[in-house]
Amino acid sequence: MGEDDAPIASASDDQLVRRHLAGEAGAFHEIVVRHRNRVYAVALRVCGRSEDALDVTQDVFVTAFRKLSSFRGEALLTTWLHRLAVNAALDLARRRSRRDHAPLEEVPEQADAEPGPEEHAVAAQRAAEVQRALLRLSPEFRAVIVLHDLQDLDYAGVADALGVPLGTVKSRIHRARIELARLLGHLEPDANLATSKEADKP
Amino acid sequence: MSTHPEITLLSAYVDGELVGDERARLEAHLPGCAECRGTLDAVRAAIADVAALPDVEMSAEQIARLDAGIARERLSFKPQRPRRRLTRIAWAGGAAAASLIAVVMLMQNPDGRDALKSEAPAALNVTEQSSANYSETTARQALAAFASGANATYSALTAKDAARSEGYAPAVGGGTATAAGAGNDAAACDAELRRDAGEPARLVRSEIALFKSQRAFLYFYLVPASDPKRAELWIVRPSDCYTLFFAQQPLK
Repeated sequence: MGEDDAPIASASDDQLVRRHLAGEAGAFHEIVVRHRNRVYAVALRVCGRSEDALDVTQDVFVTAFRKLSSFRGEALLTTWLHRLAVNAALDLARRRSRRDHAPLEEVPEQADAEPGPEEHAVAAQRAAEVQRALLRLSPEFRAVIVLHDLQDLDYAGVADALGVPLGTVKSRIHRARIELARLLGHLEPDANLATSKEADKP
Repeated sequence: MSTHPEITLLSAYVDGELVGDERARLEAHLPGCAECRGTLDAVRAAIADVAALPDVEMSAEQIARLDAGIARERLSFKPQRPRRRLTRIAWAGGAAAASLIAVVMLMQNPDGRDALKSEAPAALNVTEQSSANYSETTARQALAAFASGANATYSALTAKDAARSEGYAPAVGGGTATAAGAGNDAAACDAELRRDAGEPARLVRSEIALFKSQRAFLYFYLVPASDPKRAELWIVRPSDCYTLFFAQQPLK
Protein backbone atom coordinates (compact mmCIF):
# COMPACT_ATOMS: atom_id res chain seq x y z
CA MET A 1 0.00 0.00 0.00
CA GLY A 2 1.13 3.50 -0.62
CA GLU A 3 0.51 4.61 2.97
CA ASP A 4 3.87 3.41 4.12
CA ASP A 5 5.55 5.74 1.73
CA ALA A 6 3.87 8.75 3.19
CA PRO A 7 6.11 11.15 5.01
CA ILE A 8 6.58 10.10 8.59
CA ALA A 9 5.08 13.25 10.02
CA SER A 10 1.75 12.57 8.39
CA ALA A 11 1.64 8.87 9.16
CA SER A 12 -0.93 7.70 11.68
CA ASP A 13 0.18 6.20 14.98
CA ASP A 14 -0.68 2.72 13.75
CA GLN A 15 1.30 3.26 10.59
CA LEU A 16 4.25 4.48 12.61
CA VAL A 17 4.19 1.37 14.74
CA ARG A 18 4.06 -0.79 11.66
CA ARG A 19 6.83 1.07 9.96
CA HIS A 20 9.01 0.90 13.05
CA LEU A 21 8.51 -2.83 13.29
CA ALA A 22 9.35 -3.08 9.62
CA GLY A 23 12.70 -1.59 10.47
CA GLU A 24 12.24 1.96 9.31
CA ALA A 25 14.60 4.29 11.06
CA GLY A 26 13.00 7.41 12.37
CA ALA A 27 9.55 5.94 12.89
CA PHE A 28 10.06 5.39 16.59
CA HIS A 29 11.55 8.81 17.01
CA GLU A 30 8.44 10.29 15.46
CA ILE A 31 6.38 8.43 18.04
CA VAL A 32 8.47 10.01 20.77
CA VAL A 33 8.20 13.46 19.25
CA ARG A 34 4.48 13.14 18.86
CA HIS A 35 3.69 11.88 22.35
CA ARG A 36 6.42 13.00 24.70
CA ASN A 37 4.61 16.07 25.97
CA ARG A 38 1.53 14.06 26.74
CA VAL A 39 3.51 11.46 28.65
CA TYR A 40 5.57 14.11 30.42
CA ALA A 41 2.45 16.05 31.35
CA VAL A 42 0.85 13.06 33.01
CA ALA A 43 4.06 12.27 34.82
CA LEU A 44 4.65 15.82 35.94
CA ARG A 45 1.15 16.41 37.26
CA VAL A 46 1.14 13.10 39.10
CA CYS A 47 4.69 13.13 40.43
CA GLY A 48 5.07 16.82 41.05
CA ARG A 49 8.79 16.95 40.28
CA SER A 50 10.24 17.63 36.88
CA GLU A 51 13.20 15.30 37.46
CA ASP A 52 10.91 12.44 38.38
CA ALA A 53 8.67 13.22 35.45
CA LEU A 54 11.62 13.12 33.10
CA ASP A 55 12.69 9.73 34.48
CA VAL A 56 9.18 8.40 34.06
CA THR A 57 8.97 9.71 30.52
CA GLN A 58 12.21 8.02 29.63
CA ASP A 59 11.08 4.76 31.22
CA VAL A 60 7.84 4.87 29.30
CA PHE A 61 9.46 5.31 25.91
CA VAL A 62 12.16 2.77 26.59
CA THR A 63 9.45 0.28 27.56
CA ALA A 64 7.49 1.24 24.49
CA PHE A 65 10.51 0.65 22.33
CA ARG A 66 11.15 -2.74 23.82
CA LYS A 67 7.56 -3.88 23.82
CA LEU A 68 6.33 -2.38 20.58
CA SER A 69 6.65 -5.73 18.89
CA SER A 70 3.94 -7.13 21.08
CA PHE A 71 1.73 -4.10 20.93
CA ARG A 72 -1.19 -5.66 19.24
CA GLY A 73 -2.92 -2.56 18.05
CA GLU A 74 -6.14 -3.52 19.75
CA ALA A 75 -5.83 -0.39 21.74
CA LEU A 76 -4.74 2.99 20.53
CA LEU A 77 -1.10 3.79 20.97
CA THR A 78 -2.08 6.74 23.13
CA THR A 79 -4.15 4.50 25.37
CA TRP A 80 -1.15 2.28 25.88
CA LEU A 81 1.16 5.22 26.52
CA HIS A 82 -1.30 6.74 28.98
CA ARG A 83 -1.43 3.49 30.85
CA LEU A 84 2.34 3.16 30.98
CA ALA A 85 2.77 6.77 31.99
CA VAL A 86 0.20 6.96 34.75
CA ASN A 87 1.24 3.68 36.33
CA ALA A 88 4.91 4.55 36.27
CA ALA A 89 4.15 7.98 37.68
CA LEU A 90 1.91 6.52 40.36
CA ASP A 91 4.55 4.05 41.46
CA LEU A 92 7.06 6.82 41.83
CA ALA A 93 4.63 9.19 43.52
CA ARG A 94 3.61 6.55 46.03
CA ARG A 95 7.19 5.73 46.84
CA ARG A 96 7.98 9.39 47.32
CA SER A 97 5.08 10.01 49.62
CA ARG A 98 5.98 6.95 51.59
CA ARG A 99 9.58 7.80 52.10
CA ASP A 100 9.87 11.53 51.95
CA HIS A 101 8.43 13.50 54.76
CA ALA A 102 9.07 16.81 53.15
CA PRO A 103 6.18 18.00 51.04
CA LEU A 104 6.56 17.60 47.33
CA GLU A 105 8.20 20.54 45.74
CA GLU A 106 6.15 22.94 43.79
CA VAL A 107 5.84 22.32 40.15
CA PRO A 108 7.76 25.01 38.35
CA GLU A 109 5.30 26.36 35.85
CA GLN A 110 6.58 26.38 32.33
CA ALA A 111 6.13 30.07 31.93
CA ASP A 112 8.91 31.16 34.21
CA ALA A 113 8.05 34.14 36.30
CA GLU A 114 8.46 36.94 33.86
CA PRO A 115 7.44 40.36 34.86
CA GLY A 116 4.38 40.68 32.69
CA PRO A 117 0.92 42.05 32.78
CA GLU A 118 -0.95 41.83 36.04
CA GLU A 119 -3.41 39.22 34.80
CA HIS A 120 -0.60 36.96 33.77
CA ALA A 121 0.97 37.13 37.20
CA VAL A 122 -2.35 36.50 38.91
CA ALA A 123 -3.10 33.55 36.67
CA ALA A 124 0.34 32.11 37.27
CA GLN A 125 -0.14 32.39 41.00
CA ARG A 126 -3.51 30.71 40.86
CA ALA A 127 -2.05 27.93 38.73
CA ALA A 128 0.65 27.41 41.35
CA GLU A 129 -2.03 27.21 44.05
CA VAL A 130 -4.00 24.69 42.08
CA GLN A 131 -0.92 22.60 41.42
CA ARG A 132 -0.03 22.70 45.12
CA ALA A 133 -3.52 21.55 45.97
CA LEU A 134 -3.24 18.73 43.44
CA LEU A 135 -0.03 17.61 45.09
CA ARG A 136 -1.76 17.43 48.43
CA LEU A 137 -4.14 14.84 47.10
CA SER A 138 -3.20 11.21 47.33
CA PRO A 139 -1.47 9.90 44.21
CA GLU A 140 -4.58 7.89 43.31
CA PHE A 141 -6.80 10.94 43.46
CA ARG A 142 -4.29 12.94 41.50
CA ALA A 143 -4.15 10.32 38.79
CA VAL A 144 -7.89 10.30 38.05
CA ILE A 145 -8.00 14.09 37.95
CA VAL A 146 -5.00 14.28 35.65
CA LEU A 147 -6.28 11.63 33.27
CA HIS A 148 -9.82 12.93 33.09
CA ASP A 149 -9.59 16.67 33.50
CA LEU A 150 -6.21 17.25 31.88
CA GLN A 151 -5.87 14.42 29.39
CA ASP A 152 -9.56 14.37 28.50
CA LEU A 153 -10.03 10.66 28.90
CA ASP A 154 -13.56 9.58 29.67
CA TYR A 155 -14.34 7.41 32.70
CA ALA A 156 -13.88 4.24 30.68
CA GLY A 157 -10.50 5.46 29.47
CA VAL A 158 -9.41 6.33 32.98
CA ALA A 159 -10.56 2.94 34.25
CA ASP A 160 -8.62 1.23 31.48
CA ALA A 161 -5.45 3.18 32.12
CA LEU A 162 -5.51 2.49 35.82
CA GLY A 163 -6.82 -1.04 35.65
CA VAL A 164 -9.67 -0.35 38.04
CA PRO A 165 -13.43 -0.74 37.70
CA LEU A 166 -15.57 2.07 36.38
CA GLY A 167 -17.28 2.47 39.75
CA THR A 168 -13.93 3.12 41.36
CA VAL A 169 -13.21 5.88 38.88
CA LYS A 170 -16.60 7.47 39.52
CA SER A 171 -16.15 7.45 43.24
CA ARG A 172 -12.52 8.44 43.23
CA ILE A 173 -12.93 11.36 40.88
CA HIS A 174 -15.75 12.77 42.92
CA ARG A 175 -13.91 12.50 46.20
CA ALA A 176 -10.84 14.00 44.59
CA ARG A 177 -12.81 16.99 43.41
CA ILE A 178 -14.40 17.51 46.80
CA GLU A 179 -11.00 17.49 48.41
CA LEU A 180 -9.66 19.88 45.79
CA ALA A 181 -12.69 22.11 46.28
CA ARG A 182 -11.96 22.28 49.98
CA LEU A 183 -8.28 23.00 49.44
CA LEU A 184 -9.06 25.71 46.92
CA GLY A 185 -11.73 27.40 48.94
CA HIS A 186 -14.81 26.33 47.04
CA LEU A 187 -16.09 24.43 50.03
CA GLU A 188 -15.78 24.79 53.74
CA PRO A 189 -13.01 22.53 55.00
CA ASP A 190 -15.34 20.47 57.12
CA ALA A 191 -18.15 20.25 54.60
CA ASN A 192 -19.40 16.73 54.86
CA LEU A 193 -20.33 16.31 51.26
CA ALA A 194 -17.94 13.67 50.07
CA THR A 195 -19.32 10.91 52.18
CA SER A 196 -22.28 8.87 51.21
CA LYS A 197 -23.91 9.48 54.55
CA GLU A 198 -25.89 12.12 52.76
CA ALA A 199 -27.35 9.53 50.49
CA ASP A 200 -28.84 7.72 53.44
CA LYS A 201 -30.82 10.67 54.62
CA PRO A 202 -34.52 10.41 53.99
CA MET B 1 -39.06 15.54 49.64
CA SER B 2 -36.69 13.58 47.53
CA THR B 3 -33.83 11.50 48.72
CA HIS B 4 -30.33 12.63 48.01
CA PRO B 5 -28.85 10.62 45.20
CA GLU B 6 -25.63 8.73 45.66
CA ILE B 7 -23.24 11.59 46.12
CA THR B 8 -20.66 10.51 43.57
CA LEU B 9 -23.27 10.80 40.84
CA LEU B 10 -22.85 14.52 40.98
CA SER B 11 -19.40 14.40 39.41
CA ALA B 12 -20.56 11.82 36.91
CA TYR B 13 -23.36 14.18 36.00
CA VAL B 14 -21.04 17.12 35.41
CA ASP B 15 -18.78 14.88 33.34
CA GLY B 16 -21.61 13.74 31.13
CA GLU B 17 -21.24 10.17 32.33
CA LEU B 18 -24.75 9.92 33.71
CA VAL B 19 -27.51 8.73 31.45
CA GLY B 20 -31.04 7.48 31.46
CA ASP B 21 -33.00 7.08 34.66
CA GLU B 22 -30.14 8.01 36.94
CA ARG B 23 -29.69 11.26 35.12
CA ALA B 24 -33.40 12.01 35.07
CA ARG B 25 -33.69 11.37 38.79
CA LEU B 26 -30.79 13.64 39.56
CA GLU B 27 -32.14 16.41 37.40
CA ALA B 28 -35.49 16.11 39.12
CA HIS B 29 -33.79 16.28 42.51
CA LEU B 30 -31.62 19.31 41.91
CA PRO B 31 -34.10 22.17 41.78
CA GLY B 32 -35.29 21.33 45.25
CA CYS B 33 -31.92 20.76 46.88
CA ALA B 34 -29.60 23.63 47.63
CA GLU B 35 -27.05 21.35 49.18
CA CYS B 36 -26.59 19.25 46.07
CA ARG B 37 -26.52 22.34 43.91
CA GLY B 38 -23.84 23.74 46.16
CA THR B 39 -21.81 20.57 45.77
CA LEU B 40 -22.29 20.74 42.03
CA ASP B 41 -20.95 24.28 41.98
CA ALA B 42 -17.94 23.24 44.03
CA VAL B 43 -17.24 20.34 41.67
CA ARG B 44 -17.50 22.62 38.65
CA ALA B 45 -15.18 25.13 40.26
CA ALA B 46 -12.60 22.47 40.98
CA ILE B 47 -12.81 21.22 37.41
CA ALA B 48 -12.39 24.75 36.10
CA ASP B 49 -9.35 25.35 38.28
CA VAL B 50 -7.66 22.24 37.01
CA ALA B 51 -8.60 22.93 33.40
CA ALA B 52 -7.01 26.35 33.71
CA LEU B 53 -3.61 24.88 34.43
CA PRO B 54 -1.20 25.75 31.66
CA ASP B 55 -0.28 23.04 29.20
CA VAL B 56 2.88 21.27 30.08
CA GLU B 57 5.60 21.32 27.51
CA MET B 58 9.05 19.93 27.76
CA SER B 59 11.85 22.39 27.39
CA ALA B 60 14.53 21.97 24.75
CA GLU B 61 16.96 20.85 27.42
CA GLN B 62 14.57 18.24 28.74
CA ILE B 63 13.94 16.97 25.26
CA ALA B 64 17.65 16.62 24.67
CA ARG B 65 18.03 14.70 27.91
CA LEU B 66 15.11 12.48 27.03
CA ASP B 67 16.49 11.68 23.61
CA ALA B 68 19.91 10.97 25.04
CA GLY B 69 18.45 8.75 27.73
CA ILE B 70 16.37 6.75 25.29
CA ALA B 71 19.30 6.35 22.93
CA ARG B 72 21.47 5.14 25.78
CA GLU B 73 18.94 2.53 26.83
CA ARG B 74 18.43 1.37 23.30
CA LEU B 75 22.06 0.91 22.51
CA SER B 76 23.80 -0.31 25.59
CA PHE B 77 23.49 -2.08 28.83
CA LYS B 78 24.06 -0.22 32.00
CA PRO B 79 26.74 -1.68 34.23
CA GLN B 80 25.31 -4.40 36.37
CA ARG B 81 25.02 -4.27 40.10
CA PRO B 82 25.41 -7.48 42.02
CA ARG B 83 22.35 -8.70 43.78
CA ARG B 84 22.69 -7.96 47.41
CA ARG B 85 20.31 -10.37 48.91
CA LEU B 86 18.41 -13.50 48.34
CA THR B 87 14.76 -12.84 48.67
CA ARG B 88 12.43 -15.26 50.28
CA ILE B 89 8.80 -14.76 49.70
CA ALA B 90 6.21 -16.88 51.38
CA TRP B 91 2.77 -17.48 50.10
CA ALA B 92 0.42 -15.36 52.04
CA GLY B 93 -3.13 -16.09 52.90
CA GLY B 94 -3.18 -19.83 52.81
CA ALA B 95 -3.96 -21.60 56.02
CA ALA B 96 -1.34 -24.13 55.11
CA ALA B 97 1.11 -21.46 54.24
CA ALA B 98 4.05 -23.46 53.10
CA SER B 99 6.92 -21.10 52.85
CA LEU B 100 8.32 -20.90 49.44
CA ILE B 101 11.93 -21.67 49.45
CA ALA B 102 13.87 -19.55 47.12
CA VAL B 103 15.98 -22.15 45.54
CA VAL B 104 19.65 -21.71 45.81
CA MET B 105 21.29 -23.67 43.14
CA LEU B 106 24.87 -24.00 42.47
CA MET B 107 25.43 -23.39 38.87
CA GLN B 108 28.77 -24.54 37.82
CA ASN B 109 28.37 -23.72 34.20
CA PRO B 110 28.53 -20.27 32.79
CA ASP B 111 25.39 -21.04 30.94
CA GLY B 112 22.85 -21.24 33.68
CA ARG B 113 20.44 -23.18 31.62
CA ASP B 114 22.65 -26.23 31.58
CA ALA B 115 22.97 -26.15 35.31
CA LEU B 116 19.24 -26.01 35.74
CA LYS B 117 18.91 -29.22 33.84
CA SER B 118 21.04 -31.10 36.26
CA GLU B 119 19.68 -29.63 39.43
CA ALA B 120 16.15 -30.55 40.22
CA PRO B 121 14.30 -27.75 41.90
CA ALA B 122 13.56 -30.00 44.78
CA ALA B 123 13.04 -27.26 47.25
CA LEU B 124 10.27 -25.69 45.27
CA ASN B 125 7.27 -26.00 47.46
CA VAL B 126 3.92 -24.70 46.42
CA THR B 127 0.77 -24.87 48.43
CA GLU B 128 -1.78 -25.48 45.77
CA GLN B 129 -1.88 -28.75 43.95
CA SER B 130 -5.06 -28.43 42.02
CA SER B 131 -4.56 -28.80 38.34
CA ALA B 132 -6.48 -25.64 37.72
CA ASN B 133 -3.69 -23.74 39.29
CA TYR B 134 -0.06 -23.50 38.73
CA SER B 135 0.98 -26.44 40.78
CA GLU B 136 4.33 -27.72 41.74
CA THR B 137 4.22 -30.22 38.90
CA THR B 138 3.61 -27.50 36.38
CA ALA B 139 6.33 -25.43 37.93
CA ARG B 140 8.78 -28.26 37.49
CA GLN B 141 7.68 -28.76 33.93
CA ALA B 142 8.03 -25.12 33.18
CA LEU B 143 11.44 -25.04 34.73
CA ALA B 144 12.47 -28.07 32.74
CA ALA B 145 11.27 -26.43 29.57
CA PHE B 146 13.09 -23.31 30.58
CA ALA B 147 16.26 -25.26 31.16
CA SER B 148 16.02 -27.05 27.86
CA GLY B 149 15.41 -23.86 26.02
CA ALA B 150 12.24 -25.21 24.48
CA ASN B 151 10.11 -22.50 22.95
CA ALA B 152 12.68 -20.03 24.00
CA THR B 153 12.11 -16.56 22.77
CA TYR B 154 14.88 -14.22 23.54
CA SER B 155 14.41 -10.60 24.00
CA ALA B 156 16.16 -8.12 26.16
CA LEU B 157 13.60 -7.09 28.66
CA THR B 158 13.43 -6.10 32.23
CA ALA B 159 10.93 -7.61 34.57
CA LYS B 160 9.26 -4.40 35.43
CA ASP B 161 8.91 -3.43 31.82
CA ALA B 162 7.39 -6.78 31.02
CA ALA B 163 4.87 -6.59 33.80
CA ARG B 164 4.01 -3.00 33.34
CA SER B 165 3.70 -3.12 29.62
CA GLU B 166 1.09 -5.80 29.95
CA GLY B 167 -0.90 -3.45 32.08
CA TYR B 168 0.07 -5.02 35.35
CA ALA B 169 1.18 -2.56 37.92
CA PRO B 170 1.61 -4.63 41.02
CA ALA B 171 -0.10 -2.93 43.86
CA VAL B 172 2.47 -1.03 45.77
CA GLY B 173 1.96 -1.47 49.45
CA GLY B 174 -0.95 -3.73 48.76
CA GLY B 175 0.96 -6.82 47.93
CA THR B 176 0.27 -9.88 49.92
CA ALA B 177 3.73 -11.28 49.67
CA THR B 178 5.19 -11.50 53.10
CA ALA B 179 7.75 -13.72 54.65
CA ALA B 180 8.52 -14.32 58.23
CA GLY B 181 11.99 -13.59 59.34
CA ALA B 182 13.33 -12.34 56.08
CA GLY B 183 12.15 -8.81 56.52
CA ASN B 184 10.39 -9.00 53.21
CA ASP B 185 7.16 -7.24 52.68
CA ALA B 186 5.27 -5.61 49.93
CA ALA B 187 7.87 -2.89 49.75
CA ALA B 188 10.56 -5.44 49.10
CA CYS B 189 8.41 -7.07 46.48
CA ASP B 190 7.93 -3.67 44.98
CA ALA B 191 11.62 -2.95 45.08
CA GLU B 192 12.48 -6.22 43.42
CA LEU B 193 10.01 -5.72 40.67
CA ARG B 194 11.39 -2.30 40.12
CA ARG B 195 14.95 -3.29 39.74
CA ASP B 196 17.45 -1.31 37.78
CA ALA B 197 16.43 -1.15 34.14
CA GLY B 198 20.04 -1.27 33.19
CA GLU B 199 20.36 -4.91 34.08
CA PRO B 200 18.42 -6.48 31.27
CA ALA B 201 17.34 -10.00 31.77
CA ARG B 202 16.78 -12.28 28.86
CA LEU B 203 13.22 -13.34 28.70
CA VAL B 204 13.50 -17.00 27.88
CA ARG B 205 9.91 -17.92 28.16
CA SER B 206 6.68 -16.39 29.18
CA GLU B 207 3.42 -17.99 30.00
CA ILE B 208 0.04 -16.86 31.00
CA ALA B 209 -1.26 -19.28 33.53
CA LEU B 210 -3.48 -19.53 36.50
CA PHE B 211 -1.55 -18.96 39.63
CA LYS B 212 -3.44 -19.46 42.84
CA SER B 213 -6.63 -19.25 40.85
CA GLN B 214 -5.76 -15.95 39.33
CA ARG B 215 -4.55 -15.11 35.92
CA ALA B 216 -0.90 -14.25 36.12
CA PHE B 217 2.06 -13.71 33.93
CA LEU B 218 4.96 -16.05 34.39
CA TYR B 219 8.23 -14.80 33.13
CA PHE B 220 11.32 -16.90 33.00
CA TYR B 221 14.47 -14.92 32.84
CA LEU B 222 18.06 -15.66 32.39
CA VAL B 223 20.22 -12.91 33.73
CA PRO B 224 23.50 -13.60 32.06
CA ALA B 225 24.93 -10.15 32.56
CA SER B 226 24.74 -10.28 36.28
CA ASP B 227 27.33 -11.74 38.51
CA PRO B 228 26.61 -14.34 39.75
CA LYS B 229 24.55 -15.60 36.87
CA ARG B 230 21.16 -16.76 37.64
CA ALA B 231 17.77 -17.62 36.34
CA GLU B 232 14.60 -16.19 37.68
CA LEU B 233 10.95 -16.86 37.61
CA TRP B 234 8.63 -13.93 38.10
CA ILE B 235 4.98 -14.37 38.75
CA VAL B 236 3.07 -11.18 38.30
CA ARG B 237 -0.58 -10.56 38.74
CA PRO B 238 -2.47 -7.36 39.37
CA SER B 239 -2.69 -7.78 43.10
CA ASP B 240 0.82 -8.74 44.03
CA CYS B 241 4.03 -10.21 42.83
CA TYR B 242 5.92 -13.30 43.65
CA THR B 243 9.46 -13.91 42.74
CA LEU B 244 11.42 -17.06 42.86
CA PHE B 245 15.09 -16.50 42.68
CA PHE B 246 17.39 -19.14 41.47
CA ALA B 247 20.76 -17.87 42.36
CA GLN B 248 24.17 -19.12 41.66
CA GLN B 249 25.20 -18.92 45.20
CA PRO B 250 23.67 -17.66 48.37
CA LEU B 251 23.81 -13.95 48.54
CA LYS B 252 24.01 -12.00 51.74
